Amino acid sequence: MPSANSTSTARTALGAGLLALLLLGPGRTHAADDGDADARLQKLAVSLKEQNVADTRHAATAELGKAEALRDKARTLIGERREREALARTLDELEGTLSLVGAKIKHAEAKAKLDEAKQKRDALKAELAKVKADADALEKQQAELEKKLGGGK
Amino acid sequence: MKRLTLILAALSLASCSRLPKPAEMTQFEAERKSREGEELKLELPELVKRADDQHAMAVEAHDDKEAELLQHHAHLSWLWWQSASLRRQSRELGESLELVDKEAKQFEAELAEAKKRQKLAQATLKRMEQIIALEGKVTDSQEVGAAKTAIGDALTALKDAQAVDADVHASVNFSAAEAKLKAATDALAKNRAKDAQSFAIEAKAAAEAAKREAEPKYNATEADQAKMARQKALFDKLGEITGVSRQMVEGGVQIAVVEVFSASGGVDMQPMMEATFVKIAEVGKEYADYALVIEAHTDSKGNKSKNLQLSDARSKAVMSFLAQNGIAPDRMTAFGKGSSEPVADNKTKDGRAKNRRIEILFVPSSK
Repeated sequence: MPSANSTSTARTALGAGLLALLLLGPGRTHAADDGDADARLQKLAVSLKEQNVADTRHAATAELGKAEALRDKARTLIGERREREALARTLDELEGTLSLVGAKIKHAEAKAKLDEAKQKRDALKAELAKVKADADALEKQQAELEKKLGGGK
Repeated sequence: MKRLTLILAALSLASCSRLPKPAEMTQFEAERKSREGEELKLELPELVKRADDQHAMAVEAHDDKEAELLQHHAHLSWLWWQSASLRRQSRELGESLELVDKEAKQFEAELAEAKKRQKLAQATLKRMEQIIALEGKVTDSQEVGAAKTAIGDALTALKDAQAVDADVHASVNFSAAEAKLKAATDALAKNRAKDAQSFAIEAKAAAEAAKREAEPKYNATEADQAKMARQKALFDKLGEITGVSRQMVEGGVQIAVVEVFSASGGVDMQPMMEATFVKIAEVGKEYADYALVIEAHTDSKGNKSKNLQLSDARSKAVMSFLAQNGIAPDRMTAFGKGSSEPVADNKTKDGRAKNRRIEILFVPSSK
């Protein structure tokens, strides 16, 4: 059972809501929502474009395709007042997908750099083994000649 | 009537049965609960919070049997979680890259050493072969014997000089020694034994001068190499401590640990951080030839001078903790830097978390 206190709070809230409706007009808040969603979509679309360019290693091709589909869906929904909920969800999913795209691109870059460094290291290791073996053989030959010459000091 | 009751019962049962959790949700829950999940939260709090928030909404949708919402929030939670996991993996790959680069540098140094040995042996062999080629060409006599001994001495002196990189650090004297040795062998080949002996003596003197000139420079390089090898070993050792990021800097190895203290404005170390600093102290004890410079940093929130005071108190708290764990106090200095040296954007929560850090520079002690 609601208490007297909560009933009075509810009445105050209702009054404030009605007042806001009278002062601002019914379309004002919807317009503000539309503006927010529009700005958010713009921002995400720019980010999508940037990620598309950044994905030089094709690390997130599938996710970028998904993100493009979500962007197009959001563009379709943006004019539909009845679809506000669907639009918000689409934008949320687009944002999450773009975050994953960014992470995948970064990961692919880090992995490629590591692979390259490993290749360089392994090549150095192989060259080191070869040069060491050659130096050992030359030093052995030198020691034999030293004996023959009567020994360098 | 009986059929109607059965249908109603079935409908009621259906409405009571729980929705199955999507695979992404189950996987998230398993990974989130793990130790790695907790560590990921400390490392990337903002991304993990987004994953957690979406998961909370997915749980609500699951309880309310809202299948579509459940799918949506579970998927979003998984997207943010994967995003955080991959970012962490990227950081780990970056750390591995540092190690591989260090290994490559080590191989490069060893390769340079091996090439030096190879070059020295090649040069010595070439000189020896010139002398051996004279065998049988010159008539044996006391003078020839003396010349041969002098040439042998010069050869040894040249080899010793080249062993300390005299061909690099004392190239003028070294080239002169080589030229004199060649003159000596040429003279001997023409049976001018006295000239050969004289050239050989000059060759030896020049080679010894080259060695004296090169030795201090060569030893300094050797000492630098030994210092670098020790520093690399310290770097590797510090890399074994979880939650510590590290980098080779000019003069030593620097580590950073974020979010060390329990409360905003407090100087009490978080209990889970104590283990990290105990390990740092262990490494510090092992590398007793290093001094520790401790710096505490804050984010930019709040008053600048208060942040400076707080960071100073925190640096002293860390120093005291390390001292209690076996590091001699006279090896340590501690400073508070306040918010003056941010490493990340103070406008974001993630950036501020990175800025609230303790840095310790391990620097070779001059004592």
